[in-house]
Amino acid sequence: MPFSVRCYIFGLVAVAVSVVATLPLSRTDPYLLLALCVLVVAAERLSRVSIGTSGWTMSVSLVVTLITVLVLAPPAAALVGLVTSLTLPRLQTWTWTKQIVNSAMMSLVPASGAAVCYLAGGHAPGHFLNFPEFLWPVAAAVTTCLVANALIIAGYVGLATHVRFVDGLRGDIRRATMPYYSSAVLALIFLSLWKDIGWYTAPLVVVPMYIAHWSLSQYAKEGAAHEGTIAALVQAVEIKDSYTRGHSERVARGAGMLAEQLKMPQDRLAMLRFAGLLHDIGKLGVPTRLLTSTGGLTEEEFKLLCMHPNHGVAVLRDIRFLTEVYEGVLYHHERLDGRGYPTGKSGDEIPEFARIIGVADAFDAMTSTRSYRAARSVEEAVAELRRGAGTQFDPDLVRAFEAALEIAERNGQPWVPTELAPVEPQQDDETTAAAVGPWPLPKRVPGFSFADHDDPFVPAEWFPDWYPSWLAPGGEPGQGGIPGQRTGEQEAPPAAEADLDDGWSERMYSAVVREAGPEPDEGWSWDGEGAEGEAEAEESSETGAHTEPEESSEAEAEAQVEVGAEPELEPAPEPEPALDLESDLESAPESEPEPEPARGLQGDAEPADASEESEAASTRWPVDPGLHGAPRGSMRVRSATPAADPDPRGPAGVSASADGSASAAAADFDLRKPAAPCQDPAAAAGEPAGDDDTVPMPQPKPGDPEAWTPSPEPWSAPEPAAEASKTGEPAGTAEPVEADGRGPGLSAGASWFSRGAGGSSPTLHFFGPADTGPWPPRDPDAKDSEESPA
Amino acid sequence: MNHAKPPSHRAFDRAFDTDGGDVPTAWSQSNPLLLVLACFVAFAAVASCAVHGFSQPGYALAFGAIIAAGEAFRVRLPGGREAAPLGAATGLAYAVLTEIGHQPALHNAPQAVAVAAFGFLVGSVPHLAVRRPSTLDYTARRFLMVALTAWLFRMFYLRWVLGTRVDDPTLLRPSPLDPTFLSRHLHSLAVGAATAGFLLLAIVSDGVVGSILQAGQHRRPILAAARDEATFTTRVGLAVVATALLVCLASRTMSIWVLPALCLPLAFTQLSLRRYARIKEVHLETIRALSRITEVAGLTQPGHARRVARTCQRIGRELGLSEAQLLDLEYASLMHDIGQLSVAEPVHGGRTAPLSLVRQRELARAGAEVIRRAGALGNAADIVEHHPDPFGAAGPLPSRILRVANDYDDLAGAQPESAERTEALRHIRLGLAVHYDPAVVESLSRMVGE
Repeated sequence: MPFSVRCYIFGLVAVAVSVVATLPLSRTDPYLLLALCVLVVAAERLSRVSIGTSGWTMSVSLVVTLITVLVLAPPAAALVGLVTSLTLPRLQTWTWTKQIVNSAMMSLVPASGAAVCYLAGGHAPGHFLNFPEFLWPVAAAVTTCLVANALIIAGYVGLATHVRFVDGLRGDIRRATMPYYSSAVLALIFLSLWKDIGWYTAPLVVVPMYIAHWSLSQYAKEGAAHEGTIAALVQAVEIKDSYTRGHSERVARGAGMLAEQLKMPQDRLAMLRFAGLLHDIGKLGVPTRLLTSTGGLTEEEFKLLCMHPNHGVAVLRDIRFLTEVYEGVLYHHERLDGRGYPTGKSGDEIPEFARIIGVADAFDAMTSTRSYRAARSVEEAVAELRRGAGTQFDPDLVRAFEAALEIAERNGQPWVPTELAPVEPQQDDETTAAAVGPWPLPKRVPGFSFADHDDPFVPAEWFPDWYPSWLAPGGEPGQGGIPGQRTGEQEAPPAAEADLDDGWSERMYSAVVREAGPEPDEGWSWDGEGAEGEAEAEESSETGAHTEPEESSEAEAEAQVEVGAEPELEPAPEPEPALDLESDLESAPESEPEPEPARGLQGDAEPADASEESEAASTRWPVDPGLHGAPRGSMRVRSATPAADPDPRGPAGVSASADGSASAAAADFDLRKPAAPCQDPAAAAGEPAGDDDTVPMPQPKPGDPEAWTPSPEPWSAPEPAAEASKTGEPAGTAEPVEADGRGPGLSAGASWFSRGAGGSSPTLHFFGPADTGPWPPRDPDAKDSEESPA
Repeated sequence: MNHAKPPSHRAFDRAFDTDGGDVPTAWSQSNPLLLVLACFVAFAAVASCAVHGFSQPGYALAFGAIIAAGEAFRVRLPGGREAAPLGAATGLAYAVLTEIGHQPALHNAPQAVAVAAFGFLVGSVPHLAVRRPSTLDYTARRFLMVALTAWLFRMFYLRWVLGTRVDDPTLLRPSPLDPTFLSRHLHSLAVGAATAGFLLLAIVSDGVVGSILQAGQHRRPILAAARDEATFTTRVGLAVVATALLVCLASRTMSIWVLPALCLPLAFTQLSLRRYARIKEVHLETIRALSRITEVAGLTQPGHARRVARTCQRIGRELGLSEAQLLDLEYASLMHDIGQLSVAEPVHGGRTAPLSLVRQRELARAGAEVIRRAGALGNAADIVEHHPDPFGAAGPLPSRILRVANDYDDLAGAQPESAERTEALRHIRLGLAVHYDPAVVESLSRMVGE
């Protein structure tokens, strides 16, 4: 303990003891003293709630303490306070030091108040309880108590911790004002009622105070609940990427340390911690491969990556009171020299929160383990920070962060580099959940080298979380899209629950994936063939569905040969809907000649075509604009329009991911689609025959309520994989014509905010992975033959 | 009273209200019957005062000012309820006040009501001026409660039962027989108890009115509404009653200084209630926002969680869940798809209805695990864990509501046409009593049909 603190405590104790020692024993009423002591202790035990975050507590005993101030002489009041402090319940953070300081304080504060009250004439019999003359001594005494309390506490905190004395004093006075004054008036009323009517009315006084305490405790509990919720959700988001688990919490801690060093006020500090916790929420909207790569990205992929702060803000925008948090999350990848993303702000344009989070983010990325390199030490990381100060980081913040690290080390809470052992896959039992996390962790796939998008420097190995089905090493069964899912044998509906299922899942499925309307010249095949035909197809293909995952990894041609309809959804390469239903129907039979006979459906060919095609369309959720004209019949294949709740990634984004999901869904569930024509280049090429290296996009008719145009870049993404596989190159080389040639950062920012206001370029693209392949996108380093999508 | 919509005090809730295009004003959101009654009572009191004159205007002004202040700083708790304990307590205190500083309080019932009306009106002006969509329901209820108490106590009890007329000048002269009859009598325990009784009656009547309103507007069963009102009223109402009683008792000694003295703890309570309401609101908004994480990742349909939450709320209110259960259900319905984060490739765009029971249970268990780690979300984890269970082995009622709402939204989509809604409902009904709870489905069909 520093010498100054010891001196301080010694001084406090000395003064308190001397005050108590001057107790005039002959003139004090022992029974009154005893009664008040008992009252205080009882009040203390009954209610002590914590207010605020810095450990301040208050209780009803404050009322009784102030009664002693108004009634007793200073030494007697000091004695009562001392007795009270000795009976305080002991928390886990109890130390002798704290006990001594508390006892001294609880003796000195009432003593000073009583002294002031006496000096102001409050104890004189003429003034006591005569209003309004009694009010002024009371006010003076209570204010003295408040100030003395704050002074003593702030003095100790200022000496023992790095918090400034003035800051602590101001905070303490602000927090303690309300409790003190409300307790004071209740003490007044307590005394008046006691003297006037009788002692039995006195307990009435406690009720309002108790309600106040209850509301305070609810506030504290709710605040804790809020933090707990955020922490749990952030943990859930991070569980996908085992190497960044806990990253958000560490960034929040680092940002908090930095902000304390900057003497940020407490409420802003709390907001900053939220920003630190939530800053990487948006990375779910980006393929992990992009998050972990460095320099190997195409321009489109880089644009995708640049959108992850925007995704984060899209999730957070509905929370009020979080203005600075938005800024912090949106701009946390900005660099001081303007080369950051998404908007390329530079220098002081970057909000303070964003700069702070940027420093903490990079620091934690450097001091965390990657699979090929251990975590860098704190010194190395600080050296790197210094190297980047002025270009990437704010130099003042870097300096302050260094100082904060040193202080933390001095206080015994140093920053420990995060050593994460890579989680070994459980080879023996795929079905057991991993030791950490609520769900099973996926297997490692060696051989990829990527960096972390937060790490400013060196690449690291990638621990895949999104496990593409085609990467199944050794072709193990059950390595489907869902990592760690149970093996395929278990997927067959166990006979035990056949009675429960009894076709229910199929029925639900048929309802979810809606049927198209009838042909104009045909009738509406309502519950007739449509539903039952599908139901039958469902049942017949139900068993086939569970071997789906491995099929998708094999060549599709095999699937076509399979007996009993292995219909699959055409993966995304089955390109974007043509302008109207008829042309779709015409093209559909052309593009799927082979799988047709394999279906074995009993329905008509054409409604089946319609249903196939429209299933493809419908599962290309959320919107297939212009696919169907005026609605006919009751059931429309109209997927959910994101109008009411605008999708954070924009209509293009969601539909594209759904395209990917649709194609991936093919991997898992049998969707009664024939084998995909995508490995049939002719068929794939045949679809967009009419268009030149752009994705055919139905032009929205005027007045069509469902019309929407996906915004231009950066939502735009490279070619559909059909053409990519056709050309045999990694996706993205055949670049679509960009609507405008702005840089990625600027365009990303501008497009984000003017989404929907931008005109529709003739070359409209769907967002993301559907066009590059199965979700998540494949690794550009892999061989072409490996990466061609199933 | 089905025409009165529940007040949507959250801006983004209003975005979902397809009917009612422009910003709803406070008048349109309040119960017209209450408003009319309150206006009538206020006018009657003011007219009577104008005829008979004011007595002790200074005290009247002081009380009115504090009522206005309490009303201006009222707290809107999440769940739509409003609390202004300071205003209510001061109004009640003025209604039952008998002596101020050794002088009898000479105001009669109409004056008490008029002062309360003035205070409530002035206090509501800031809220109306800011045009925050709010309701005048609670203000009207508080005012009517104070008016009822004033009438019962001053007119009925003091005048008829006790036979005293406080504005009778003969009282000011101490009668030879018993000089301090009034003061002694008024401060006996019996009168204190009687006063307390009247105050409690006021609070209870307010609770009854509130539960009737809730039952009418939100279609809740009246017992559930009464239980909720009782739970809420117990705490805040107790503080209000105690404060009013203390004012009445202590005003003899402290005269008018009792007012600022007693208002401090209530103001303290009100401020902490405000902070509590705000952080609870932020908490709820955070959960709403973070429920969209899965949408960003493309793992669920956009808006699915919100729609399911809204549907669950409406069904739950109809089926009589308590407010705590409704809150848990809202949390659970917002977070029920969190388990999809464990899925690499979303199936069916995240719709869980077509999945097999095993798969649904896995997802639900994963989601419940996440919610449990959050720690403070109460029973939401259990609700999410049991929601895929079929009706035969079903979980508690909130789980069954969640299942039906989830499947309905999976089938119906974002903005279903009437045909699609009918179709989705048909599919739901096919699973009646096997997968879905019939009562819940019935409530859903009522909700869908409107």
